[in-house]
Amino acid sequence: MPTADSQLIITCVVVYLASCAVIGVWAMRRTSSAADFFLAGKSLGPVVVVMATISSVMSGFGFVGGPGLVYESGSSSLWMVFVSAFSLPVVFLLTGKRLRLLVEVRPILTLPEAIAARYGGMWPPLAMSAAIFLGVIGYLGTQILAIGTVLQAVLGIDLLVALSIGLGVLAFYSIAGGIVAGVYTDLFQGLLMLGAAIAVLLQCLKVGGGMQSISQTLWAMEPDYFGPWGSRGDMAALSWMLLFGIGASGQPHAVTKLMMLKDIRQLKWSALATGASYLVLAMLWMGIGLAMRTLVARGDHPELENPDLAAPTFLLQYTPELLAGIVFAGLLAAIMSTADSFLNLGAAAVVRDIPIALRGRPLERELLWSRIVTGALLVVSAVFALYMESLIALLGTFGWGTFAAAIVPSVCIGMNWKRATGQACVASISTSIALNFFLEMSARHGYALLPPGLAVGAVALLAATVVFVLVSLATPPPRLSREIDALLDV
Amino acid sequence: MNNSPLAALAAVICLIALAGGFAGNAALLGMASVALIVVLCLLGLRSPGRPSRLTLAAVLAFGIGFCCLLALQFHLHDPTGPLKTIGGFPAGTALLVYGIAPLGLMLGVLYGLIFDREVLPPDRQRAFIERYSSKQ
Repeated sequence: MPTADSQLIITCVVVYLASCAVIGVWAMRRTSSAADFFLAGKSLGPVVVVMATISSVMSGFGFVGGPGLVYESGSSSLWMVFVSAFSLPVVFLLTGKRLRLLVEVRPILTLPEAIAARYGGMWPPLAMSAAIFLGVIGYLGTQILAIGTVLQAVLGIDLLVALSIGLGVLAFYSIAGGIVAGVYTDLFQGLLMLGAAIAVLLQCLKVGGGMQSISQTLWAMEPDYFGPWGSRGDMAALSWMLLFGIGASGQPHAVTKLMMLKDIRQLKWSALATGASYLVLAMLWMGIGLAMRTLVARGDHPELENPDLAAPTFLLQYTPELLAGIVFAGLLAAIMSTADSFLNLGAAAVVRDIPIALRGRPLERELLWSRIVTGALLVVSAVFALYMESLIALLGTFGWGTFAAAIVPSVCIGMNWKRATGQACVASISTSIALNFFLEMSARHGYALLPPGLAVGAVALLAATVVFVLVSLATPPPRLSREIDALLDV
Repeated sequence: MNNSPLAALAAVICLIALAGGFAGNAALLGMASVALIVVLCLLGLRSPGRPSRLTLAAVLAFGIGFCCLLALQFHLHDPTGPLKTIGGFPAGTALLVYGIAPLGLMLGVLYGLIFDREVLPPDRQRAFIERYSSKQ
């Protein structure tokens, strides 16, 4: 594991961690109700929403895992990230208008509450809460482990100590400030990383001797590696395109950000801004992985022990100190703000969504319980991350697919189709959870039931969509309230 | 609005994509995925009197353009031949970077352009909120 000797890099990271603590204190003063804690009081401007959306979607997986995947299999994973140019605008198209209008006329704070309003009954919101909770645990564990890995690389300290420092700061600002702290950290981080991504790409091109030279080296090493599908082949690349291109509309940490907009008309150009900004961040994902692989192919750097070390290694050894410090701070911010979003979603599921589905009202003293549950989730996920690493990796993969397959049919299709029924919502969510879990577990135990390359999450998403439509058509038409009926016509 | 035909079409496309995936036919999976994106976009745009023909044409053009680029990628990638580059990238990969990504952004541009007229006309927004916001 490479570590930082530079005082400048360490200073940047320490300044960042201190900034998070300051944001936490400031956000705590702005958080006086559950509406503030979960939806930032529906008070955010478009720049904050755009930055918060791209930051929470990019996360530790994007900034650390993305370059690692490019390093390992070339162009294959570019299909995850370049599709954001249309996948994020599609999120706005499918969910933005109606969810935000619903929040305007009803006291709704979370996605399961929106599901309850759309479908009625106890089971649809309960099923959605369960899917979100399962996805959250997986993602949160992965993010927490990523915090430890980055801090360990920068500070050269033991993983346990690194995790403790990262968790301490995360606990402070997410428990104190809820989503307000999270989105403003996202704003800070998003702006930082947009500038840094361009600078890092230029540095990658410089280290690799230009794009043409990088292409020649990689083509000589293995033509498929830098071909359109990468080393993992066309099936993997295109099933990732499907999962990430459509599945983005099912990521609750992105969808709920649209519900926080102060003015619904600010949706107008936010869709384009979100897609374009994410595309800029994709340069970091692509550039670092390609540059590191080129250095290794030319014999200028030894093979990495682990592909996930591509980003820390490149930043520590091939990037000017100040830029490395800024990007490391951004990496930490990405991981921590995403973890904060997931803590918020998990807390909402426990404190509001499940109690409302079961007994018609949230827990008493909601804000206090939200903070307690946020802390408890943090501890539980940290324990998972430390002692059940392989399970966390399993759940991390399970997370994106679970969200996509559970939420796309029920929310993205259901909010645009009057004939969709509550039974179909429950059936498709159950299908998505069962398929994701069963196929993932069987593959990890050596019983691959899918053709090579075909992504589990893509199969679950397609199957859940089919189930949703068929069950809707097979069950009696729903009796929509006049409000929901009108909403689906707007 | 009766969106059942579009929803049913989405389900059929999902079945085709699944068949492509299980048959190991990546091209079929890819094309079906693009078709699914187009159908979902149309589902999101449908409401009384909408989308306009121009918008419909733009979304269909996005889908056709995307499918053409995918087909071209299959055609251009020849791992046994010499390296051919476009803008520094191998030709097939360049179509993703310089073709599919900018094409995708067109959906964001379209959303912005038609927002006031088709996505959420201000009068419909006002009417809906005025009628139902008292319930809060």
